[in-house]
Amino acid sequence: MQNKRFFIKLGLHALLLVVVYILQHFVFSRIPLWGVKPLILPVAVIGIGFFGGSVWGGVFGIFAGILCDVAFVTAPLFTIALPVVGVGSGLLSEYALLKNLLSYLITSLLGLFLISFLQMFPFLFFRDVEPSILLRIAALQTAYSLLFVFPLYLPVRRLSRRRR
Amino acid sequence: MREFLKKKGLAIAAAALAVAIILGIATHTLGGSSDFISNAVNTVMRPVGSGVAVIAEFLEGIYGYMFEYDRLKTENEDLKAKIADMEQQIRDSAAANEENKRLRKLLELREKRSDFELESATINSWGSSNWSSTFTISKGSNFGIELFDCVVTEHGYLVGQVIKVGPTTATVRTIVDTNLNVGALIERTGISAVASGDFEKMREGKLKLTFIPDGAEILNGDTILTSGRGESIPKGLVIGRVTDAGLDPSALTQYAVITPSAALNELSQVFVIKSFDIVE
Repeated sequence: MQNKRFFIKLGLHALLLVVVYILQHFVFSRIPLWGVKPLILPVAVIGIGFFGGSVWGGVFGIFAGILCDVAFVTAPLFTIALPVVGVGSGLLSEYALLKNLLSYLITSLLGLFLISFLQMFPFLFFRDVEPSILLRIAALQTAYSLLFVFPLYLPVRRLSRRRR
Repeated sequence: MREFLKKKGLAIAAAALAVAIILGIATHTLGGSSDFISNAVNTVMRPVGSGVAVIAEFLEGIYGYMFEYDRLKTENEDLKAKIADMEQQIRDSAAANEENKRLRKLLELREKRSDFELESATINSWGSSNWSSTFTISKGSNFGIELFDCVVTEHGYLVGQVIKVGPTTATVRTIVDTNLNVGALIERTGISAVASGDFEKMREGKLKLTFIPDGAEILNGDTILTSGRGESIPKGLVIGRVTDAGLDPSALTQYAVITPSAALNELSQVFVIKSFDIVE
């Protein structure tokens, strides 16, 4: 019985992963806001880690990272970064923050800015690009992606509350 | 009554015959115009006729509503389906026309560059990253597409290069991506340079011409072609036109911004050059 519940929970996480990937890669990539496209999978990873714990965040982060690297052709950036972000958000909720919407928003802000920094790293240090331009894109990407905290809050919270 | 008919019947019959003859002669003489009696009858009967017509129409309407409704509804649905079919045919025809135009252009390209082995592919999806410019096409290694194959439009305008190949799909990095550098030639002067993606320009759908030799003359409107350096991109493909040429703020080096000839935002079909003759 416990195994069955575990597999159902695993299946629901997989479903969430696929749905969010489709939304990020096929839907919202066509709807840029302020000239940028959002990162939705990292927001989902942070949510799973934050409400479900660091283990679920780490595992979900690995698969989400692989999908992001496939979509962005950036391997292995996201495959490494997203599990770290998932585990980190889990640890924050376990030791430092209350599990509520505001804390999820703050954790997502931190996680998304970390990811944006990793994305702009090569441009910042290996190419002659104005830092202000990179920071603008990073800030806009983070802002647009943060909007997805609100629609994801309930699904990730409910999913993480399911017993094993 | 019988007595009356016995006495006057013959006279009445004769009078009726006389009236009939007179009416016949009058009608014939008037040549199609109504006679007095007809006019009188018609005048009297007109409102009655109109009333009857209105009632008949009303009854026909009720009859139609009761008995024709289902038939009309079915007919309406059939017509709607036919219209939808015809609209679909028009859309298909428009799409076929567009493809036909592209293929005609491609035929011209094939005639000009008979050494090209081309593979047509459609764009599946555009990359969702804000830091690069890529798209995925509908064909991969199953169709002979290989890593670093060059991708062009039907006009032979450079679009990008294949950077990842799967059996059924391939990922193409466009010419405005910051990771793509292509050997370039200024067509008017034959001077070599390098066309490179630039982060700021990428967001405007443009790229830069770099490594321009000192003293090289570059004018707005100059056409930039591929130089064919390396083995992956053939010589002579159009990259784009110079839209902004000048000196850097330091006044030491020249710069030029290229607007690609391939309308990257409007692409739906591209052609992968699987092989070509390398010209030394």
